[in-house]
Amino acid sequence: MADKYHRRSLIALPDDIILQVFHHLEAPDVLSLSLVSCRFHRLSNLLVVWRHVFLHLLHRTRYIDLLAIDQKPLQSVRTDELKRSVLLAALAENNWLQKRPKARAASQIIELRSAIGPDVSLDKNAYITKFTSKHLLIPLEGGKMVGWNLKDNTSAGSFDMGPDCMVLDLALEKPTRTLLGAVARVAPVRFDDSFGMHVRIGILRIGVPEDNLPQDLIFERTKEVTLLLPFTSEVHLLDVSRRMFCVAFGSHESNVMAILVMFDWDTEEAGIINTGIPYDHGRSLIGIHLSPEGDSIVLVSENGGSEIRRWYRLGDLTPSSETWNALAYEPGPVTHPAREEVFKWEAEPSVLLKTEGTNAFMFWTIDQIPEPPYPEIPTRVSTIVLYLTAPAGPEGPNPSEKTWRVAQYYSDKNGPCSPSRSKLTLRNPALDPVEDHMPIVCVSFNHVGWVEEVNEDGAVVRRMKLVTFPDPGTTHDGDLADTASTLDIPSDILKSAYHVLLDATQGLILVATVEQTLHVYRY
Amino acid sequence: MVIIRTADKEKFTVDRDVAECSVLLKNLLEDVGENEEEEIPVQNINSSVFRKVLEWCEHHKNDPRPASDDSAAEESRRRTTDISEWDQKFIAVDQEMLFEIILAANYLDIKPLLDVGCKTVANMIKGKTPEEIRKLFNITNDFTPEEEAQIRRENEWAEDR
Repeated sequence: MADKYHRRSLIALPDDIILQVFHHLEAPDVLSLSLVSCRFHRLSNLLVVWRHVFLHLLHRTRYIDLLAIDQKPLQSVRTDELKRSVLLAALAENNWLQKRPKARAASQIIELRSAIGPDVSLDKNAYITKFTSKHLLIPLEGGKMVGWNLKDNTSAGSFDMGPDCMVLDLALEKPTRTLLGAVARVAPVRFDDSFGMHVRIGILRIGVPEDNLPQDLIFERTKEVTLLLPFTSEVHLLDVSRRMFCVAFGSHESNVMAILVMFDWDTEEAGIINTGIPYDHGRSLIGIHLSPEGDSIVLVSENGGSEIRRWYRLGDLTPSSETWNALAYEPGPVTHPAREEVFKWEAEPSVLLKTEGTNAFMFWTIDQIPEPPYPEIPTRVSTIVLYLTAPAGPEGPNPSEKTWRVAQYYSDKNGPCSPSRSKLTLRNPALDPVEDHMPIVCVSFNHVGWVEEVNEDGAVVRRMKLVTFPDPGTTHDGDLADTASTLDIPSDILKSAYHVLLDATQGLILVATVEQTLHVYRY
Repeated sequence: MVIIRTADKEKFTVDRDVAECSVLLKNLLEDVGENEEEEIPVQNINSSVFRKVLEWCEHHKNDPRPASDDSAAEESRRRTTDISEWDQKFIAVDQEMLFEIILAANYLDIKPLLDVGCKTVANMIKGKTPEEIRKLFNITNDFTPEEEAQIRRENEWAEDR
């Protein structure tokens, strides 16, 4: 009788079939099964199960960059490492989909003045970066860069870049586990009848000590390149292994967008692309990267509800190692792209189609790591654009009439993955206390968060709002802000926030405040 | 037409293309060739379950067969979590029958049907607590209290969400 009964129950199934059931489950359910019985506990801790949960998340364009295991290749990862890495991201994601997510524990508090020095202040114009499972890079006023170990809650070395220095871009060199920063020392210069900046771009290498060693980060300043640039220039690291970066700028007078491509910062050989497109700072360009083959530079821009991609072959440019003076650049013949693709968005709201009064204010392009890609999982990029609509008034736009909107889409090497973008309005955004010019926002591959400020019973209350973008191929009709979660970060802390940092891979949100304190919440 | 005999000695006369949904039967039929008189025995399956499996094969006989070396198609089939409407109705059976179908699909090597079964079980598990899962499938909790506490600690930071 017992035998007959068992034949017809879940536990009668052989292990290989039960594992097939596991393959359709996500992280929280696998955890539940681990508590059912000894057999399920054993099965739920097999590497193959976590590999499936991991691949499943990657398929759904979840951003699991294995930061928790610090870029180890998947082949050499232990089950518990993979499990932890996947769970951190998956559980935070589930938590953040709730209406009112609660942090898993009390917040971690880092008081910079007692930890580093009584006089230190955060550089208000720079952002804190998190670049391994535990390391923060904190830019301080006066050009100092401090490393912080979140796990041990101790400082992890520092580097003095010197005054008037700022970080332009950061990129990870994966094979060497090194973060590379393009750091610039800027001085204004007069050139003919106009002004520009004299920029010395230094390359700062930030190395991570081996696991479990309580050592500091290793800072090393290497190459320095001098350029003369207009004030409105954008510097982007292209491929740090190939020592490539580029600068987008508008030419003097004719204001045509040109791209200075530094082929190798060691030899200082560079070439220039004359796009022939009028340059509008922060607007002409919503993405710039190398093609997957590495032989072309891809410029992504947008215009009237369309995304335009242009491929320029590096081989078509003439490298030269003269000292580059973009201020004196006179655009000659237009460089024609080897390929151009226009993708017209469906269902764009009319306000984003207008060119009057609405500007792409800022953009983020975030890679879905890990790299190299896994079989059958396309390498995807998430593009998030922040728009500002400000109706013109007699004395400039009235701040209360400004509307901030966000549009987001995923794309792979073939272009956008969905016919329309995800859109939301940042409702009642609290503005950056420094220059009061932009909302306090944070982004990840799949999320956007902002600080909301509302009047409640006569008192000003701030709340942390977070939206999860829909999966690629799916769309949300209407305003995604309707789906926003409200996190449990106290209003008082948000009231003194400079910046907020979001790391979805670890379910972490960090609030940096004017009291020079960092509050770290884990979800 | 081919004749198939189940464990309880019932004989089924089945269209060859229906039987060939099963990789096992397809291989056996290749061995017996065109001899339609020969009965093919399936030892592990009772007639009630086999009838149900045939119903599925009949409906899906014209589906493209997954080639065994086509791992991309296999992957994409596995990734889709939805079950077609017909399959959902088909699989809306009691637990005993569900597990019999899964075992039969495994034995007969009918991967898409095995998949439907596994997805159905997965859907039954989704969102449930360990206690609810035990109750649903009548599973005995064989942990010692110490073991259970230990696992809870392992999962602790995940549990208090």
